[in-house]
Amino acid sequence: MTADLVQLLAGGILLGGIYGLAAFGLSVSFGVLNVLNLAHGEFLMLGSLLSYCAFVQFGMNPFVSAVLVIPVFTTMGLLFFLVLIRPLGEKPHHELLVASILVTLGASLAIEDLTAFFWERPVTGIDYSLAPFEVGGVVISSLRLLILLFICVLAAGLQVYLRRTFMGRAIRAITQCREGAKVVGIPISGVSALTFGLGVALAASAGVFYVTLFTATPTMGIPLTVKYLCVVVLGGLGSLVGSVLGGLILGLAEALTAYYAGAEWSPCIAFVLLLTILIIRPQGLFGTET
Amino acid sequence: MQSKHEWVMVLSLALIAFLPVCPAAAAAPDAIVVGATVSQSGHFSSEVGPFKRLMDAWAEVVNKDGGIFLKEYNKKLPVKFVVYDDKSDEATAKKYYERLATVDKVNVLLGPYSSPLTFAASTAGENHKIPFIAICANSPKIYERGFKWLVGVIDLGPRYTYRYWEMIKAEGKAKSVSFVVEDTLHPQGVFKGSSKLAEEAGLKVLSSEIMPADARDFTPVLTKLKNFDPDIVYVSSNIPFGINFMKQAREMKLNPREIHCIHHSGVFRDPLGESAENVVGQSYWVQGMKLGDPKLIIELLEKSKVSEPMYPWAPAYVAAFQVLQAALEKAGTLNNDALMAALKGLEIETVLGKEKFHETGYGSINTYPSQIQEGKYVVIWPAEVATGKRVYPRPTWK
Amino acid sequence: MNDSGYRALGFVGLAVGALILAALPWLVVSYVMVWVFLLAVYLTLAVSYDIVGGHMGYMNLGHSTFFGIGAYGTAILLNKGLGLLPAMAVSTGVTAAFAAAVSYPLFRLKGAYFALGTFGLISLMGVLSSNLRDLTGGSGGISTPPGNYSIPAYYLSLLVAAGTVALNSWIARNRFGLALFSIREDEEVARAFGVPTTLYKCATLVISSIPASLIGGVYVWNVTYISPSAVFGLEIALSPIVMAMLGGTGAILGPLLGVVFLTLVQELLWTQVPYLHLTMYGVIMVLVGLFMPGGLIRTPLLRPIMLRLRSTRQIGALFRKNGKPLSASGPAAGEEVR
Repeated sequence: MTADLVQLLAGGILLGGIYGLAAFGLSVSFGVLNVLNLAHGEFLMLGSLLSYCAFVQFGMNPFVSAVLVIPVFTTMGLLFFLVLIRPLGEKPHHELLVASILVTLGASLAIEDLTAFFWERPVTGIDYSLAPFEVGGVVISSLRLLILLFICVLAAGLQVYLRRTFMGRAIRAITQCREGAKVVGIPISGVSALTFGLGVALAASAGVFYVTLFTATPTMGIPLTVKYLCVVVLGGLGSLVGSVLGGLILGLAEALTAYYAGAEWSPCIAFVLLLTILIIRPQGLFGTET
Repeated sequence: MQSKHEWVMVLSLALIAFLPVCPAAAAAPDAIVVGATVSQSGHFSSEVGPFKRLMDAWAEVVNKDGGIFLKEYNKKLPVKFVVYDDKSDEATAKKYYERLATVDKVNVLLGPYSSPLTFAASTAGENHKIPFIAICANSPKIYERGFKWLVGVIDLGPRYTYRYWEMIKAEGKAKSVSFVVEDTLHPQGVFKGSSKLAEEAGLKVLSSEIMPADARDFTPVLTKLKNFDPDIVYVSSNIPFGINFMKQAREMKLNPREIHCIHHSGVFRDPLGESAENVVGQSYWVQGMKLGDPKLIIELLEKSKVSEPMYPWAPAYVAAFQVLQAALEKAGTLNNDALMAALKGLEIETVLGKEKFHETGYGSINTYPSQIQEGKYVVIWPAEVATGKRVYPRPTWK
Repeated sequence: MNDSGYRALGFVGLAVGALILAALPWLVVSYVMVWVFLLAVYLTLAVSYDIVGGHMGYMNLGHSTFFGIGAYGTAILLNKGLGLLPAMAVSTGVTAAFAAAVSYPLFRLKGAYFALGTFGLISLMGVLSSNLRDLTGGSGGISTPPGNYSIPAYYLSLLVAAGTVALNSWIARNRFGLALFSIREDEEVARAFGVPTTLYKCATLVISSIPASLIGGVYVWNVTYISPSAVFGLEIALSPIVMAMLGGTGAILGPLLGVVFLTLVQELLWTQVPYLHLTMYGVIMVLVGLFMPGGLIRTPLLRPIMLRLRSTRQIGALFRKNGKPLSASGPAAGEEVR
C-alpha cells in the first residue's frame, strides 16, 4: 500500500510541475497588466501544435522546442498585447474587466475556431518517450522527471531574472503597487508588453511539454486556463514560487483524489482548493495583501 | 408608465426579427432535399467536422447521371443537401432540425452526431412526420420512445462489441477483465453492455473505473490496475482518452494479456507508435476486409478528402447514404408515408454489411474486432471476414 | 414628437406587439416558435445576469449554474410525477438556497477573481451532475416525460422573460438598485455610507438566480432531455453574458438589445455561411470590447434615441457632471461622480 502511495505522490508532483509552469505566465501577466488573459490556454495549445510540427517535420526534440518556442511566442505575445490589450487603456476597474473579458475571450474563441478549421487533425500527440525507471516497485516516468527538472531550472532562471535585473524588479514593483511604480517612473506600458510576451511564451513552453505527455486538441485552451487560474489564486498573484508550489499541490491533490475517491472526482478538486484558499487566505499562499 | 417606450423598441425589433424566417415558397418536386446538421464546431467537430464534404461528395456521385430514379415521377431527381452547423449543442440541433422540417421543407432528415443530439433532433422528424435516419446514435433510450418516423443505421451501443466477446468465449483463454470507462454516453453504453457480455462469456470482472472524459493523468488508475492484474484491460473510450491511457500504460509498464481499446483507428496509432502494437479494438470497416463492396467508401473518401483513420465514422455515413438511396428507389416516391414504410422494411447489403431495421428502429450494422499488427489493422473475428490471426497473449513491455 | 406623443405610440406598439406574439402559433410555422422560445430563454438569462453583472458590477460568469440546477431539479421532479409548476417552484427554491450558500465564499472575491471563481463553479456543477448518476442520470443525461409542449412552453417562456425584464427594470428604479450601483462604483464608500453590502450582494445573487432557474425548468420541460454539457456547457454559459455585454450591461435595454441583435445575426448569417461561426462570434466580441465596451446601447449612434427615452434619461441624471452629461463612453461606465 505504501508503494502505491509513493507512486501517487511521485505522479502527482510530476504532473504539478507542468501546471506550475503554465500558471506562472498567467500569474505574472495578471499581476502586471491587471488584465485577466483568458486566451492564455490558447497559446499553450499553439505551443503544443508547433512542437508537433517541429517534431514531425524536423525531428526536433521537445526539450529543444521548449526553448526555441520562447522567443517566437514572446514576439507573438507582444503583438497580441499591442493590438488587443494596450488599446484597452487605463480604464476604471469595472469597465476594464468587461472589456478585457470580451477581448480575451473573443480572441480565444477566434483562435480556437480558426485553428480547428485549418489544422484538421482532431487529436494531436507525439510519439516521443523515454524508458521509465523503477525504484523499489515504484515506476518513475523519466520523461516527467526530466520535465520537472527543466521547469525547476527555468523557474530558478526566472527567479534570478526577477530579482537581479531592472526589468524583473520593475515587474515586481508593478505587481506590488501600480501607483507607486508609476510615481517612481517605471514605464508601465513597456514593461507590460514584455511581461505579457513572457507570460505567453511560458504558456507555449508548457504546451510543448504537454503534448509529449498528453494529447492536444484545438479546444483544450479554455478549460486549461480556468484550471491554471485556480493555481494562480492558490499560489498567490505574481509569485513564481507560489505558482510552482500551487501547481504541485494541485497535482498531488488530483492524484490522491483520483485514487481514493475515484477518478471522476478529481476535476472538482481544483475548484475545491480554490474555494478553500479564498476562504482561509484570499491572497494565496505567497501572495501579498493588496 | 415609462417602460412602454422600451417595449416599443423591443417589439419593433422583434417584428423585424421575423422577416428572415418567412417560409420559402414550397419547393417543386424537382429535387430530393435531404436535411442534416453536422457538428462543424464544438467538441464533436473532432469526430465529424468535415462531413458536409462527404455529403456533397455523395450528392455529386449520385447526381452525375441525373440523380435517383423515382417511379412515381418517372424521372431521375437530383439529391440536394441542406446542412447546418449544430455546434455540438442539443438546443441548436433541435432548432435547426425544426427549421429543416418547416422552413426548408426537406423530404428526409439525416441525424447529427451523438445520441444526445439525435435524441433532441429526432423529435422534429416525429412531430412533422418526416423520415429521420439516425446515423451516429446508438443509445437504447432513443429507440424506446415509440417513434414511428425514426430508423438508425447502427446497432445499439450495449451490443457494440458483442463479436469481440463471442471470440473471447470461443477461445476460452482469458479469465478476468478490468474496465476503464470514459464518462461519455457512447463509451458508457458500450461498457454496460460489455460488462454483461463479459460475464456471460465466463469472465470475472475485477474492477471498473469510470473517469471523466477530459482526464489526462492515469497514474492512479494504472496503479490500481497493476495490483489487480487482469487478463484483459478493456478501455471503453473515445480516441483522445484512449491515446493518453496507452501512453501512460506503457510508461508504467502495465502488462495484461490483452489491451482492448474500442476506438483505435489511425489517429490513435500515430502518437503511440510502437506502444499501439497488438492493441485490439473495433472497426466498422478496414481496408481489405472481406465485407461488402468498399468501392463507394473509397470513392467518397477520396472525393471529399476525408481520411478514414482520422474520422472513423465516415463509413457509417456512407452506409446511411446507401440506405437512403435504396429506400428512395424502393418507395419510388417522395411521399412521406411511403418512404417511411420503405425504410422500415428495407433489407439491403451495405458497405458495412447487412442492414435490417429492428421494429423499434435501430439497425443491424455492428463492428468487428481488429488488432493492430505491425502498424496495420487486422480483422480477427469471425473467420468469414477476418484478414489475419489474433496475437494472444500480447508480448509484454519491458 | 413630445413625451405624450411617444406615450401614445408606445401604447399602440405594445398592444400590437403583444397581440402578434400571442397569436404567433397560428400565424407562422413552428420553427418560429422554437426560435422565439430560445430567444426568450437567452433573454431571461441575459437580463437576470445583468442584475448582478451590470447593476452591481460583479461579473457572475457562472450564472448558468442556476439555469442548470433549475433544469435538473425540474427534470428530476417531473420524472417523479410532480406537475410542472410545483416542480419549477421546488427546484427554484433549491437554486435560491444554493445561491445563498455559495455567495458566502464567492463574494470574498472581487473583479476578475470573482469572474473566474464563478466560472469554475460551472465545471464543478457539471462534474457533480455527471457523477451523481443515480440522481441525475450521469453524463448520459436525463429525459423527462415526452410530449409536444412547444405551444404552452412558448407562452410560459415569454411570460418568464417579460417578468424578468420587469424585475430588472423595477430594481434599477428603486433604492435597492441605487444601492447596487453604489456597490459597483465603489464598494468601500458604499459600506461607509451604511449600505449593508454583504447582505445586498447575497440578496442580489439570490434574486438573479430565480428567473434563471425558472427558465431552466421551462427549457427542460419543452426539450424533454438535458445533459451536463447542454446546461453546464460553455455555450449556454457564455452566450447570454456576451449578449448582455454586447448590448450594454447595467442598462435596462442593453441585454435586450444584445440578445435580439446577436440572435438575428446568428439567424441571418450563420444559416448562410456554414463555417467559422465561433470565429465571427469572437471577432464581434473583440471589436465590441475594444471600441464599445459599454455596449451597443451606449454608442454615439443611439444616443439621441436613448436620451429620448425617459427611463434612461432618469438613470443618466444620476451620473451628470456639472449639469452636463458624461462623455460618449456612457453614463453607467464608471467615471467618478463628484
